[in-house]
Amino acid sequence: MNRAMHHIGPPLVALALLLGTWELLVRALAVPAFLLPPPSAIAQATADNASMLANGLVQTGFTAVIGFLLSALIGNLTAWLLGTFRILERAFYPYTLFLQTVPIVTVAPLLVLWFGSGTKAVAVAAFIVSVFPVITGTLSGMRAVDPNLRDLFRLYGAGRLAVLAKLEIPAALPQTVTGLRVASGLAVIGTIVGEFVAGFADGKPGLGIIVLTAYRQLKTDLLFAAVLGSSVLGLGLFASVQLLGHHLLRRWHPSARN
Amino acid sequence: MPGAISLRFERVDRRFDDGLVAIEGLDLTIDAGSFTVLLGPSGCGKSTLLRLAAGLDEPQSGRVVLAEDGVDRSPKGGPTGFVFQEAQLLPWRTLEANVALPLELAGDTTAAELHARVDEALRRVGLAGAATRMPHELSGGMKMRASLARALVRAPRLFLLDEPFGALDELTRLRLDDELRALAKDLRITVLFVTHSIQEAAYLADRVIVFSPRPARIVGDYASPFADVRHADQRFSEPFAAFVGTLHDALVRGGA
Ligand SMILES: Nc1ncnc2c1ncn2[C@@H]1O[C@H](COP(=O)(O)OP(=O)(O)OP(=O)(O)O)[C@@H](O)[C@H]1O
Ligand SMILES: [Mg+2]
Repeated sequence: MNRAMHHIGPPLVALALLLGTWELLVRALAVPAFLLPPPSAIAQATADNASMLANGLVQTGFTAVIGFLLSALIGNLTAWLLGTFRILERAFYPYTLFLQTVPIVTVAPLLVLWFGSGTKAVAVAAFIVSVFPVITGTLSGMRAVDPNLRDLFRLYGAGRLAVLAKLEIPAALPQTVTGLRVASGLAVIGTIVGEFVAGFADGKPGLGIIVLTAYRQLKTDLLFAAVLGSSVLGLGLFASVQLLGHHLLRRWHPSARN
Repeated sequence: MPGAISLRFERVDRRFDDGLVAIEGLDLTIDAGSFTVLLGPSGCGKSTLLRLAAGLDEPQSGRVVLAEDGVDRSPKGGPTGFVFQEAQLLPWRTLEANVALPLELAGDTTAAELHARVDEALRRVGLAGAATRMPHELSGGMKMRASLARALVRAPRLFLLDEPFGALDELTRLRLDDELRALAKDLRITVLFVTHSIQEAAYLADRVIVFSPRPARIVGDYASPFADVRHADQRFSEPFAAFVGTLHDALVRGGA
């Protein structure tokens, strides 16, 4: 109990001070609510729109998780292929950089053309934004395998598949987890941005749509509430990946031992 | 039990891509069942020689031959166990899973047989009680024992060790030296053991081969003054001191 207070006490006090100052300043200076609403108004807007925000959270969360899972799956498969066949890596790796550099808003209209407006297009947007760190993470982990261990496998006559399954994939796991952690945050960002362009459909507005609508109606307090919701979502996904990574690495990797 | 293996280097050259010559015109025969120590200055080409014997590298010219019961074969895929300077265990596997790796990769044992052989190998190196521990939970000496067990599990006929105990404390090293020699003799394995410790060479070997700096030339080839059995007291005997002196002189004459 005492220890818990020791950890969460200071940030809680800091938060209370921050919110209090915010509230007081906004009131004292009579800042218009559409520019900067006081925390009390944001809380009120959250309560008033609780069910819409909750549905938005679920919708955006669902899409982000789909996008993230696509990244985890396709990203790792790609890394395994590129890492196994040097010729493929040399041929295709430069083009994976495209995924890293393309602004997703410019691709989103294309996704609407291909997949139609809605969850599918948005999930693909989230995937495109978040897959690159998974590929590089796993691939660099595979590249970093100790040459002596490779020799050991060669000595014992291991085939390419055995080297992949029993050496490269487990050895790369710490970097894979790091890649997934980065991807989890990016998947949420990709989903919100994707919703801006491609999220108007199937009558299930995600947080991105709520942000846009609130902005157009100058409901800045609701906008704040939606922004808060998306960061909660990002944190949640990040924490889940962190937990999974910790579980996978706990028995052997220094990063997960203490 | 199949007979022990002998090993021949015939006019072997080994050059690297950057033109560096590590081994030139090497002729050397290692007798079946012998415990041979390779002694030479750092960088002379000892590890390179072991890698050739393991079939991990190919010579540019000449050839390396294993002979088992009078039949010649290439070192590649041979009945060879290799122990590196570091234990090189897979950190995500338990000890027993590490030791099982060579059997798993060979894929020719049933699950029950695999278990029996892993247990036997762990017992041989005195690690029976630590089978389910993770590598990071072990001392350096225990890791090295595990590495020995892994190299032993497929019943190798040729055992190649590259400065295996160099990083251990003196007492652990002496104990492992004794155990390794007893084990190799018991199982009638041919051993090629690399070290740059003169004392270790003098104690362990049936035969010590001394190399010059790179490219490795043989500058001395000596039989041990002791009979087959070793015991710790020999380290303090007159013949041992004389043997150490001989090896030291050979190294110096070779240009080390
Ligand atoms: N892959 C490689 N490419 C180029 N040069 C190499 C390579 N491997 C080893 N060498 C060089 O070959 C020489 C012999 O190396 P080797 O590792 O066989 O020496 P060593 O006798 O085992 O030395 P040490 O006792 O320090 O382990 C060294 O000069 C080394 O730098
Ligand atoms: Mg060496």
